[in-house]
Amino acid sequence: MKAVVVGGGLAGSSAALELASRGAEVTLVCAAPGATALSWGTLDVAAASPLRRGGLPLRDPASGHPLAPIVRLHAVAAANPAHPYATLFRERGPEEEVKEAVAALDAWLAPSGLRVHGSLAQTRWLADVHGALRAADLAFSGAGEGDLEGAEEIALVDVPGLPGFEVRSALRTLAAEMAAVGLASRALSIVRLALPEALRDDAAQPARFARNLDADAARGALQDAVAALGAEGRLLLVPPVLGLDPAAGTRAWFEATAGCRAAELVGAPALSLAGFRLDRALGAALSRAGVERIAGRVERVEIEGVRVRGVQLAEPGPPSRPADTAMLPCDALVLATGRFVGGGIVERGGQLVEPLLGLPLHDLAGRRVDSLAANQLVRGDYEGEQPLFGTGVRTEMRLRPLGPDGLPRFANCFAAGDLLGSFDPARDRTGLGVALLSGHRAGIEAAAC
Amino acid sequence: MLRGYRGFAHEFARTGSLRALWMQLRTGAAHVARRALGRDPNGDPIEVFLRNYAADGFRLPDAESAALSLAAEACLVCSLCSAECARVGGAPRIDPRDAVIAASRMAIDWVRLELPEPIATPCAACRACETVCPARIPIQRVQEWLAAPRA
Repeated sequence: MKAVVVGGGLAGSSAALELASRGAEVTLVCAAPGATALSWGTLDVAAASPLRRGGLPLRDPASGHPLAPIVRLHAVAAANPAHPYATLFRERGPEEEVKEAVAALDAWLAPSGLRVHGSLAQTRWLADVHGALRAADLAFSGAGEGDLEGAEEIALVDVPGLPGFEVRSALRTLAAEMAAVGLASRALSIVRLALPEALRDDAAQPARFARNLDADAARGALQDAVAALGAEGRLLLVPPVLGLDPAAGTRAWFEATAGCRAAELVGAPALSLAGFRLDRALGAALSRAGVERIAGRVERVEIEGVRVRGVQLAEPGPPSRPADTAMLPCDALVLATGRFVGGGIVERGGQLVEPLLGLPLHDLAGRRVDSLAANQLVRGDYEGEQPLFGTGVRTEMRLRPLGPDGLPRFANCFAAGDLLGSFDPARDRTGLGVALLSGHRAGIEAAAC
Repeated sequence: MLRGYRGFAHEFARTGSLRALWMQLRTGAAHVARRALGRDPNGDPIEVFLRNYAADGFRLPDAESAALSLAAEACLVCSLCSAECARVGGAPRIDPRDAVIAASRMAIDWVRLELPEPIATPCAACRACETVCPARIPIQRVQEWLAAPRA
């Protein structure tokens, strides 16, 4: 069978990889990297930010014990019946569904040197570059090795000249947040990485600095400086610049050289390379799986009755695919076009629309919003619920998007990732969890249709 | 109004540039005059602006520069271009992200300003940066534009 996936983030890539593993001939159309490439190093199926308003509870209100991520996952699905998790877990429990999807993702990424760390059984305490704590569950290599639990002493590594990282401010925040959640009995300090002359200018450009760390020359020059940071029982938390290529094993080199545990801080825009590494590793996995990738935009979807017949590309394809055959026929279509970053939902003439199929859009509360403008769905309360951020399409159990009548609009069209509405990843702390689980499931369903 | 005066005094103390001080004073005075007299009656405000500042080298850019500057304003400052540039081993004089930010700063409200002289040397033009830009900014053209000789 021929399948077309639109969107190359985690949701689209997972769907394409799952389809390919089930023998489908897959073409992935992707205009540009979306929100996945801007992610921060955690996967977060059901994480919590303990000191932020909204989101999932961290502790059991009765006993005060921290909740395991799996319990929070059940809670989020139960609290909102329209949440993609509630849809996904209707047939099978979250345990199996998550285990299978995470194992698949780990296998896809492992050849690129990127692994998925953690489980849903236990909360992992990670710190971000601002010193804020995250009660995370799953995280990628880099930040994933940085669980604060088990460290006798925590040291933040200051890289002189690195923009966007204020180590003293991060330390103050981390100390306060650890005290607030009862992780306080650990020594916290700042250690300074003494950069040799040759690398000093490079630190102003994090990506270049990270690339240098992947090579032996810079590692040799930094050997003594890194070795000086280590101490027995210490956890070194480094800004997220430990290498551009996960296969180069830069974090492991840093750890071995320092002689104690070392991990990256969870990233932040403009400083984190974690999303870039994930994006590239997904690209490599797609190539290995034989998925054809086309850089371009889909202009139109060919429809015949209740079936999608193919997609028409807006821009001419690559030389191997002449412009007059820019129509890609397909037996199944997976839409993983994202929400606002990816262009899965756009505002046109003052109205929110799903541009490819004109699917009905709903906000968090289930209200139809596709005749409204984006600014009508934003409230003044900064941390409060924003209907706009939960806007997207609704689907039935098999992830086929619903039409205006509440029934699946097409027999062979599936939706995954942020295009799905009824959840706000920022408040749910679902991170890339919905992208992975819905992408994986959409791949399975599309292969079976 | 006093806050404006503190602004240019501070600028003068920082840069020591008499020309900057003169321009600040003139802008401040024009502001006061405009506040006192109401809107300038002498026609299209853009033309008035350009007439007033032509002597200082301000002029509208050509259509291509204006379009590039406008495209650059879509930058999310995500730095994926820098990462891809580093990954493929590019070594431009100006990092692609910084080039895009520079281009987007060439706009002051509704007036877009022309660069007085090239501020970069051309990069290798491999366009790897463009393949990862979520905002689809023509980064390589921005680099070329920053490096182009000026009239």
